[in-house]
Amino acid sequence: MDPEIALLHNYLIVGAVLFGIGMIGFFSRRNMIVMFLCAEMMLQGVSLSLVAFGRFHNDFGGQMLVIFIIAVAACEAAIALAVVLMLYRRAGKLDVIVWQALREDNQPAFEEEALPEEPPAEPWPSLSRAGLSPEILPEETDFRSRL
Amino acid sequence: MSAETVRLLTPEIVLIAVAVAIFVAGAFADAPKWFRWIAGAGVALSAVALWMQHGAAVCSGPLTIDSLAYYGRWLALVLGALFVLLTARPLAGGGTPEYVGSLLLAIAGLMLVSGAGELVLMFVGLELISIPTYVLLYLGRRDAASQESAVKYFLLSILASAILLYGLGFLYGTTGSTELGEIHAALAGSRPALPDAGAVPVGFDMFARLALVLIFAGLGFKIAAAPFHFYAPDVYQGTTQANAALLSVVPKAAGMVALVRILVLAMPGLEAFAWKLALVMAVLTMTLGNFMALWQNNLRRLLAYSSIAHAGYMLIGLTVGLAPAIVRGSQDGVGALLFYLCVYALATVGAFAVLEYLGREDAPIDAVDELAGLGRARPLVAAAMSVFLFSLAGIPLLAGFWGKFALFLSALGVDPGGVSVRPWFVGLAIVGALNAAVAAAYYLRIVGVMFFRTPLAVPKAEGGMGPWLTFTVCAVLTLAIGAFPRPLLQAANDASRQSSVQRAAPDLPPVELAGRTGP
Repeated sequence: MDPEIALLHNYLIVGAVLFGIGMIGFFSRRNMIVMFLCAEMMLQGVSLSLVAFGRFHNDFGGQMLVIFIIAVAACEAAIALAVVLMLYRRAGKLDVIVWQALREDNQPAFEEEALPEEPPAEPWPSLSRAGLSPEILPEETDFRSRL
Repeated sequence: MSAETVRLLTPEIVLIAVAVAIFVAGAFADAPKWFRWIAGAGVALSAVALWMQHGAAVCSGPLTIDSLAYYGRWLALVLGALFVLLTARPLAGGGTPEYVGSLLLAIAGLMLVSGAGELVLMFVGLELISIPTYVLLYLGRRDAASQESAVKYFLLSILASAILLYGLGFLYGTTGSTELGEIHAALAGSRPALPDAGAVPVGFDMFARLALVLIFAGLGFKIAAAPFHFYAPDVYQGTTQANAALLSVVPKAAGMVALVRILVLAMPGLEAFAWKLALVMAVLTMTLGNFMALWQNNLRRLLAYSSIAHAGYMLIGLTVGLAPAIVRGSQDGVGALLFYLCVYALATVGAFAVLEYLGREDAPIDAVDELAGLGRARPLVAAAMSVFLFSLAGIPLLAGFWGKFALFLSALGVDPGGVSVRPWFVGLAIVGALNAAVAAAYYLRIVGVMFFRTPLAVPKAEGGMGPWLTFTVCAVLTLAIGAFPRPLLQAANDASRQSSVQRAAPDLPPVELAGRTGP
């Protein structure tokens, strides 16, 4: 395979993986800062793909777009931190689950279910150590005459 | 970047300069009233600059200043003037200069998107709308609901930006250029897309299709199309009337223009796939929006679902624009979309302005029942509100009727010469008409509450002069377009037709625009 194309493929795959991890993280995490970081990770995946395409086409347009993406992401980060800080001051938590007052009338609020309490673990069965004569309990000698 | 580029961008530069001046002055001066006047003057100055260059059609470099760009920019300026009027009341908690400055930046972003001929400029324009919007949502009101809506919009908007960018990245990867003209040439086959003909990366033929899906998803968030509409009702409910009006109009207009610029004008050869996607989204969006609106009691939430439904109607126009039609009808799909955009924007901004006028600063109008008896207490305001609601419902002889008429006509006019896709478009028009009938139910419910219910408590109407002027202007324009739809419809059709002609043959000398047409 042409080395240029192999190189492009490698970068595209890494870019797609970054994008995918970011998206999964965005949908599954509840901490606002982590969600924002996951979105940033998606942008990094896009940037990597763009730079790889730019090199493949021998064109600077892709890198130019990447520089703009970085600048815009910086602006968004500034606003994000301000918004998150203000929400943290109000609620004292970074968890997005706090913010669910706005929803359909008949829709129940998402309530965090406590995990069911685990029963105390039963002790593992134990064997007496090998190579020693077992300890003889006094009550056993009563009905086991051979001992 | 030449002197010509700077000259063409004068209207945007004026707006941004005024916004920056307001931001800086706001740190030193405490005169909330003056900033409104300065902002109004900035919009007027920008309009003068746009008027001076009107007629020049330039399609080069990162800018595509064609008639579509002029249509979008005039729409943006009209909306900008309306929003400056609508938010005339100084904010209670301070921050007026930041609010006004962000408003001007968002309008400048919409103007940039309208004239963008390049992916980078288009992305920057879209972000110039999004980032000030976060600030507007935060500044509007300072209670918990408002902050919740700010954070919801913020997080989902970043996600949508990332998805859109991934799409733009694949579009760039397929064609090797960020300029829309070059992209069109590469996809149409008149320019080689790959650096050398021998080596083709695996999956390369799928990239363009992937780009289309991702771009549709990313812009679908901006226009609040199902399944990317989730944020809209919550965010509108939590924020102020003026912010809800802004959110329901400005990002939607930008998203629609960007969809037309990228999908219709720059991606030939993908129509067979694109129109099906657009058709499914159109049907889904309008049906879901209309049916969910039937159950709402909160007015802003109801109008949010209505705005989702209207995005669905507009997607009919996009579907027709993408259709592989050999014989097209008399009405152009994209033209109908642009006309509808204008009509919808006037009615929606007007409706929110009425609510803003009726509400008090600390007690905005929330529930439908709060409008009870308005017809007796304030007949003129109630009449204006009815005009907007009838227009949104598409009652004949109002602007909204002509908008829906043009859209359905364009769908019925598609005739791809014997291929069996015509039933799909006829079906689309029928679904649209059925939806319009469903929508009438909830619009007329509000009208009924206003006129046929005894008043519970007469609204104080402390909104002041600004919102009053806004809804009056909107009502007059809605009635005027209803009576004389032809000039605006003509302008919208010209915008669609001339920009597509220019795209197909960029070497031709630019089309001289006929007269000064603007909304």
